[in-house]
Amino acid sequence: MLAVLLASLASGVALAADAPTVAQVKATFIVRFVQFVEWPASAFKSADDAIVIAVLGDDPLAADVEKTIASERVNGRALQLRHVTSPDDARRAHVVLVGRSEAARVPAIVAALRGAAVLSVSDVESFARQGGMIAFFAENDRIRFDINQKEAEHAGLVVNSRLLNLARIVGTEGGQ
Amino acid sequence: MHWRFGDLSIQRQLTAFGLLASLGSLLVAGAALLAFELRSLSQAMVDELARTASVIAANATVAISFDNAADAREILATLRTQPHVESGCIFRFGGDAFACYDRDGDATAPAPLASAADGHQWADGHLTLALGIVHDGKRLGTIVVRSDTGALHGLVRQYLAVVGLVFLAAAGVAVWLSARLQRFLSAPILRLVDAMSRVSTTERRRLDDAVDLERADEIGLLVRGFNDMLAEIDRRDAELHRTHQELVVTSRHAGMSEVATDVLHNVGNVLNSVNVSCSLVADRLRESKLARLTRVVELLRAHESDLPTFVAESREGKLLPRYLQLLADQLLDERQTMLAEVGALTKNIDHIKVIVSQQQSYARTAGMREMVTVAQIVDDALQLNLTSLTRHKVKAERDFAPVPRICVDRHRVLQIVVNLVSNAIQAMRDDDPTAERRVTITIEPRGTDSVAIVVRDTGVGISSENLTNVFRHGFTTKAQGHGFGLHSAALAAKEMGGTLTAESDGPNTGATFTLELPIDDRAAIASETEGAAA
Repeated sequence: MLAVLLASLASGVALAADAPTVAQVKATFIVRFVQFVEWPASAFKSADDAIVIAVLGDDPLAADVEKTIASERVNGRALQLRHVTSPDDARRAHVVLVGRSEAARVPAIVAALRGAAVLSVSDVESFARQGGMIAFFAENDRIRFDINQKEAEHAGLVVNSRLLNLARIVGTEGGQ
Repeated sequence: MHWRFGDLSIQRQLTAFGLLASLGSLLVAGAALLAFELRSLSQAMVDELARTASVIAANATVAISFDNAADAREILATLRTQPHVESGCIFRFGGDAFACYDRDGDATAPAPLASAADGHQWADGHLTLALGIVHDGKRLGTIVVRSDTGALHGLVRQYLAVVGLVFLAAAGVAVWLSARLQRFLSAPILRLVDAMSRVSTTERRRLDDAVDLERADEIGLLVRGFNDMLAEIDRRDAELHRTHQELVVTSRHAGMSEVATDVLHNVGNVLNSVNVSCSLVADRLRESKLARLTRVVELLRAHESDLPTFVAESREGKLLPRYLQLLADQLLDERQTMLAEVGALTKNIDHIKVIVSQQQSYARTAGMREMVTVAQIVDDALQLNLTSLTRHKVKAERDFAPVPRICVDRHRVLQIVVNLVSNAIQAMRDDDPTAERRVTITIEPRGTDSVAIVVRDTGVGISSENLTNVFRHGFTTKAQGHGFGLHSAALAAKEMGGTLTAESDGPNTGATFTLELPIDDRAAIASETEGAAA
């Protein structure tokens, strides 16, 4: 009984200490996506090859993502954050975070990334509907995300079915 | 008397053994199987619950990773497909409940789940299982599920029902088989029992009842032993029979000597009277007046020449006719007395003849039965003892009530009464001259079918311990006695269908002997009542 009480007190303190910001949650989510997506074997040169997260353009999330990945390993691989300026540079990464600054250029970026085994994520709400793979959106004060499963499949990525279950599944609007 | 298993027939016992043995082993087997089944069932239940938990754990990793409690609840809701799962909870790594499921709709996590460690435990009819939720080598949390044991109980009930049915079926088969197989054991034993009861109730040769059965087991041994026993019994029977025959011969000899003694005793009694009569006759003859007749003849011879003168003139001659007259009277008187005595003698000798001839024929049934007057027999007995009575100055009294005539062997009854009177006379006391010396003989009817002759004396009496001894062969209180008089008298009375009993109030109070004889059925036809003083 006392133990339960102490445990609940401790967790309460922890919650009070770092009540996560929206940015932190999104950063954590990005790392979790990595955990529940499988890349084709050809995406890595070796077994301990790092998972590269490329940031295209400017995004406020980048800083939090960098902080989060510092202590994470997925499937024994380290995570690296890299800033890129063009979608072509991003094709060599595993994940690309398309910054809010790039909202207007999404269709072009998506087209440039097509065919590469890169998981594209963006805080731009319409990203997935425009041919991206994952896009955050807010619903009832909770952070949720769209997944465009078709695009992920085209890229040769396998998204965990439970992850799909959590997501709002969307398709690319307006054709190719 | 309380019930014992051993009182049952051997068939029932064998059947019961078969039944008990099979049911006992079945019970043990059933219990062992149940224990094993229970163990594997509960293990299966743990495995099943663990499988369910691990599926949920695998599914819940995403929900925990993305902090989606709704999804976690949705995953937990799949527990609904397993009705025995009562509740389940997903705890985040660190302790707080993330999502919970309750079968009965209670949303709060049941307290026991929070503290559950990894693994399973049975408690209070519940199975609680905790499993870590791990993804990519990292512990995300814990899933705890709790199941009731209803499924297990249901299975156990099913199992028990099956065992019960098997039990009943096995009991039926066991009874059937036992009933069939027990014959193999019980049949020879029953045959033995049958043979035994035949042996113990029949007189014929035992070996005819031998049980014909060849077996090498203990029952075979028993049968052989039984048959040997029968042969042994037969052998001993034959021996016994032979011994019995020898014994019969021996006892016949002994009996004959007893009879001889009896005869001598009875003859002796009569000879007493014969002796008295003889000496009386001898005395009479010795003192006979016949010599005086000789003197008269001598006187007449001397006066042969002058006989008329002598008779007419001499003093002696004149007295002669009167003398002769007196002499003749006396001789006549003498003759009369001796004739009477010889008559008594003849009667006694006749009695002796009868006694002897009766014993010579020695067929107990050979005695001539005839209708007799009881008073006549008693008077004859008194007559036979008359001399003895006179000599011992014993007064005899008769008290005869009217009784029917009876059909008996006259001489045997006479012997008994003579014996009783003779005993009464000898029982008179010689030490006290003032003591009364009297024998009373009473005849009286006893009931409607018997007559009693009671001989009562005023003699020395009989002590109470001797009252039964007096009838024993060889018992006597008399110095000159043989101890068979009363014994044979009692035997004779019994043989005639009567009794001889003795009564006495003790020493010096006299004794009473009662001879009771049945009135023969022939007497009923001639139911003529005779006078008292016949």
